[in-house]
Amino acid sequence: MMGFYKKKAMLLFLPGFLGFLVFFVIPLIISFYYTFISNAFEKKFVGFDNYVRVFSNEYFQSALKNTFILSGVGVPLLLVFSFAVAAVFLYLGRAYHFLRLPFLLPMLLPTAGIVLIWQILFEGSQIPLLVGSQGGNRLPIYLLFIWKNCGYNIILFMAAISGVPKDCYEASSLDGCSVIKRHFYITLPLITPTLFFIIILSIVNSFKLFREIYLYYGTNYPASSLYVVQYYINNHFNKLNYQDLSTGVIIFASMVFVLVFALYRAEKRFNWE
Amino acid sequence: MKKRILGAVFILCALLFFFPVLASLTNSLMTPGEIGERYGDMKSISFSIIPSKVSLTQYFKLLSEDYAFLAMFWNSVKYAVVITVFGTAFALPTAFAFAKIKFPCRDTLFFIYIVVMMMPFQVTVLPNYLLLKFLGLLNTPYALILPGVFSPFQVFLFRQFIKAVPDEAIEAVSLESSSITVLFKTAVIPAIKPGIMALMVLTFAESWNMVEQPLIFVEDNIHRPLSIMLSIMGESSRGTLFAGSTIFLMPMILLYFYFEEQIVQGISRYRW
Repeated sequence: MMGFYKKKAMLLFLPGFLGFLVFFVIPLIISFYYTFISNAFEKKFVGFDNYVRVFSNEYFQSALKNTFILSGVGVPLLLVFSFAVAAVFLYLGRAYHFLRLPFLLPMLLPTAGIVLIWQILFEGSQIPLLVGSQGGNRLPIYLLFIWKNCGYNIILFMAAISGVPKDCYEASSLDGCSVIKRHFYITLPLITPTLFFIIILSIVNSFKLFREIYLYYGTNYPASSLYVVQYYINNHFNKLNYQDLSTGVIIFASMVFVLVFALYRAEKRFNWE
Repeated sequence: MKKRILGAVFILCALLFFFPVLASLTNSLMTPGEIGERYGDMKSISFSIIPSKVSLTQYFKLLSEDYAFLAMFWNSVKYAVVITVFGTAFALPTAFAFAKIKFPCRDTLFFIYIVVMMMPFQVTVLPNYLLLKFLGLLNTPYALILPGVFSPFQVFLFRQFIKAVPDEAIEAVSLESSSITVLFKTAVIPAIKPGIMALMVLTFAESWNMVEQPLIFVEDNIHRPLSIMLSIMGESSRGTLFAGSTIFLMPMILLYFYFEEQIVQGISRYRW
């Protein structure tokens, strides 16, 4: 029966797909091409020279390290927080549903409108805990990341946890299981598909943190602990250093690809269904 | 009893979360003079959310003196609306094909969509720049609209939504009419309506929030959206910065209130 619509559907499919090819896929391939040439003007083929040089560059290494630390710490923090809030929402019931607002709203708010408050709270205030980034402190960015992204995760977690059959919980509490243990051993395995979706989405969002960091510091050269890969890419773009830029891009993109692919495979292995 | 204590702590946490928005709102009601006093010197800031005198001077000053502000505001609106409407219009048929039609290399192509979706903007910034330059579209609104319209994220989510629509529903319609428009209108769209609304709001928010693209692809202030301006505005007109931020946040806050239910449903009902 689907054959009935096939021709027309494929016709309508084309514009969106072609646009995607032109503005996303082909640029990626062109980037790849640029990693093998000497510079934008001579276009001489240089094999893997660019890769070796960029990889041994200390700024690039520092950028990679910062990016992965930021994601490596930020994402687990985000996940734990979102899970906890979702669990609390479900525990407290309908009456507290109106409190969804403060958690969901940040997801839609433009960073440019909010970063001012963040700057004031962290850079200039006297409150002891809210230290600015003088000592390489990443706290403001972590908090901004959690603040902005927990909403989406909370909704997903709530939907997933609601799907867990109640008898599992009853059985476990009969066996004398504490709340934390219960979530660990029962809830988590049973929401695996959604959990992996949330993990992957959160990791992808953590790489987009560049925008927040850029707006927060307002310059092309932020505090050294927050100099992430995108800064490297951006700055080389400004210097018209196409080959280093593209090489950095491809190295970073490959790492992301491997990471997400590994997670994808892990999900297939852990999936109970 | 335990529930009540947890509830109270939770309310506190929620208030903390709402704090940045609240602070933006109340600070925008202070006079520019007070703002200068409090925040002028970055080393000794006296932060407060209670204005000593409530006034709309900031707004008045901003809207009447800063001619660029309103122009950029409407730019933002233009970009967000166009990208949302056309993006959804292009993404739906593409996602439908990925979800329901069998064609060669379908799954590989879709995997490419997923891979590209994961890459941050910087990965394609250089070739996009060169392409737009070649097409003569740099410094025009199209430089921002075109990449936004063809973003893979919408196709990805719509495909997940449409996959959940039972094949029987589509077959039922195929018995009545061979027009794809009718199919969409009667079987597909009604089935995933909350998902479409949620995604449209998210796309709007994403385009409203656009920062890196305008910085690189559009240089003339005439075409720039408001998201850029707030980062440039910093030094010269500090006094009206909060009003600017609040005006910038307002449309998104309103959209949230209007579509809250659909957003939650759209996100929670259709998952992996």
